[in-house]
Amino acid sequence: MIRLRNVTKRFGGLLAVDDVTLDVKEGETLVLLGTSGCGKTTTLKLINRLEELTAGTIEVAGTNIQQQKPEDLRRKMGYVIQGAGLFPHYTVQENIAVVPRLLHWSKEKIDKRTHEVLELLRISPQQYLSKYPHELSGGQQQRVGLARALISDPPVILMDEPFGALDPITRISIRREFKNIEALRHKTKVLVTHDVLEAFELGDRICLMDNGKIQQLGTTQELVFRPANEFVMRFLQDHLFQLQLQVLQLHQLRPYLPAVSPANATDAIVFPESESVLEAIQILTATGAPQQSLTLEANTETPPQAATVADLMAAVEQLTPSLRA
Amino acid sequence: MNDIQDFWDFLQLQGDKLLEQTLEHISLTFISLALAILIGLPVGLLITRYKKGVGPAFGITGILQTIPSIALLGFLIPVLGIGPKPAIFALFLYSLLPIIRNAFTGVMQVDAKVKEAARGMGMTDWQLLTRVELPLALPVLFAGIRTAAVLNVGVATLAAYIAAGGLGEFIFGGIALNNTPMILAGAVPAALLAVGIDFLLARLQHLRLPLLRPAALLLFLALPLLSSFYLLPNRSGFQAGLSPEFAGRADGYPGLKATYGLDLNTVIMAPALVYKAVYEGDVDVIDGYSTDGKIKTYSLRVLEDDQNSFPPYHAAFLIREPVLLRHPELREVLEMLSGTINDSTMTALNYHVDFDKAAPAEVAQAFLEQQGLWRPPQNGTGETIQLGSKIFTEQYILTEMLSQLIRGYTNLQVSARTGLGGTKICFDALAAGEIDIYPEYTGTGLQVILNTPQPVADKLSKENDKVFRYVADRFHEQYHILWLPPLGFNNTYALMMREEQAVKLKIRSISDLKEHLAH
Repeated sequence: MIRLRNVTKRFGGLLAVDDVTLDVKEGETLVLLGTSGCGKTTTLKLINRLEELTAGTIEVAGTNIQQQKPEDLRRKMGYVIQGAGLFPHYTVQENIAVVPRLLHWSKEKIDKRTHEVLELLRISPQQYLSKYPHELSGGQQQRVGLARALISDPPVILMDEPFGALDPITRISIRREFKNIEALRHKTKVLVTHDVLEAFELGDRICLMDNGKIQQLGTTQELVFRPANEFVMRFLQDHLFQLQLQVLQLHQLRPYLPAVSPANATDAIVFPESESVLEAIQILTATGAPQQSLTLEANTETPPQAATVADLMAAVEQLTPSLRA
Repeated sequence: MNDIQDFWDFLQLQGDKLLEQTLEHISLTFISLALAILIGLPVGLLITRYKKGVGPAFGITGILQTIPSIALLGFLIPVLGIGPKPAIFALFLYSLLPIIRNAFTGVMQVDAKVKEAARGMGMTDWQLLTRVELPLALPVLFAGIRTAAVLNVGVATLAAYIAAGGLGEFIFGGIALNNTPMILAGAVPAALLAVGIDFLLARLQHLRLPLLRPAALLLFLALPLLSSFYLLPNRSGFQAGLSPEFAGRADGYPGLKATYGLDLNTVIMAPALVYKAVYEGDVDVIDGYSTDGKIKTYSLRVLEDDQNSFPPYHAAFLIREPVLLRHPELREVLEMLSGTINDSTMTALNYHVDFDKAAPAEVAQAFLEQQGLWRPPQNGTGETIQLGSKIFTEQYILTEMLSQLIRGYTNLQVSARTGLGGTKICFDALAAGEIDIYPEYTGTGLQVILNTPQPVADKLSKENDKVFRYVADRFHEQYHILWLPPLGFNNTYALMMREEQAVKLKIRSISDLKEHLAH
């Protein structure tokens, strides 16, 4: 969907993006991860031409972006930024309607889409449409920012630290919500963040950058279990244990889990097999009963299985060496 | 308390004039403001895009701001003449800086995130400017407009100096006449106007964001309306340019109105400008002094005061009695000049200084030599006599003559304090003993210093000798100041026209002028 080839951006003497080549596949979430100044935000802004390329090419949906007017290009992509960047002199309704107005939609169409989008994001239209941004909480502002990006149903959404300005609690809950928004699931998303946990929670693939260069581009599991170099290892080491549990899905543990014992499993919590191991452990632990077990949904090939937290941990121990190989 | 009563009386008497001046003042303020917004706003916005322009734009407008307003008006007169045009242009120049600066600052202080979001959503630069930056810059822009408006109200008082009207007419007239109620009649409304405009625009500036756009629209619609008062008073036709003092003094224009029933279409301007204004055809008739050298410079005709409206203004030296008692030898010297200078001689002497740029000392010496009076200085060692003079050419020359005579004929020393502002300053200095001698005019003594009631003054004025005797007696009695015998010329008020036009219209006297205007 998005193709970057040998993309380079220079600011005077500073090489901000150095020969970056990557593809973002349709419907996936690619996270650009790195410390500040690593070039991740610049890379993102090159895609919607908020910055202009020094060298290289970028294609979006098969068209070279240099061959389109920047405004036209941008109107076809959602753009969400830190702190939402809502217009303080516009109501929520007017804020959301900015892009449709630029696209000269009819008033009826704008109204209809506004209500649809707000419902998707679980914002009550009656309550919020006529409010001004300063009357909203940070989390609400961020939702409106997202609604504004989604209203014209663009195939591509670019996000620059979208949850960066929120407090940690709101941040985690809105992140979780974000993952579950149906309207977003099939969009091609590029997300910039410096937050490792956020990157691994939201990303399908991660592009870890440093000094304008890609250090590693791969799936979340590849980064955790097969870091490409010293830098990647060091970057992840503080959160390594949590990340391992995060990136593993329950079905990967199947071979190492005991067979189901129906007697134990009667009051077990049922999980889908694509659930992350970390999520499962957190939920089990939260119940407070050490012997609480879970049941893995059966699929066509395997019967249901059940496990306690201890079982899961043991299974992870057994699985990981094979992933590192 | 008395002043306040006088002030109210004045307001009631001059209510129409006050209203007219206030409207003119508002007009001056807002025309220039509207022009400044029209030019300054686009410039301010443009330099947010072309940063290279920021330095020059702020530099130039900043320098303009530092030019003293009266000097700026002076610079503009040769280019734009007198009247509202240079006044509006000067006010416009002063308003530019706050408006350009605040338009620029207002746009620059818009949150970078908001601008980024706007561009990221696909706004063109123009859409970004008009839909996001400008609306968000409005409070700051309003602050600039507010600064400019309040500044303009103040500076616009100076417009009266160049015949542009406004509340300055009362202020300068009042200063010239030492008339406090008149000063207040100009100053109080001007101050109220400034405070009122400041208050209203402050309200605008602090409106909530959503109300700002309609407010801005309202303001921009109101501007031409507020500017239009200037169009109301009719200023066409035969035009008189009067100095503030003449316009307000009982023996000046009001006297002419009473005596001749003359009703001129007047504008007020600085005394220094009236001659030039009539010469260049900005006005057709002016007031002046009958011995002014500029009459010759600008080929003007002095209209005959055929009904003796102007009181006689015979020049004579005033001396403190104690000084004359200590130095009786001074009397002979002081009387040497009596009766030696007639009107045309004085005009010619003034012309030499004003137009030929000769030094007053040279002109004085040449005259004394011609009269056979000049003697080289004795370099005396006696007491120092302090001479004073008001701030115009004729007084410089007279003081210089006297100074040379005293040095030549006595053992006394002389020191001159020339250029003392006006009648009041000179006379107060004399009464206080800070100066000993200065030249004064009988009419001034009668009207300004003695404040003689009008009926008495009118009766006296018809005959010169009576005025002189009256003032001489009163000055001796009240202040122990003596009037020496008159020098000979009568430097009275006069109405003047361009010679050429006067010939064409066959106007010789003020009665002729009245006749002409009646048709």
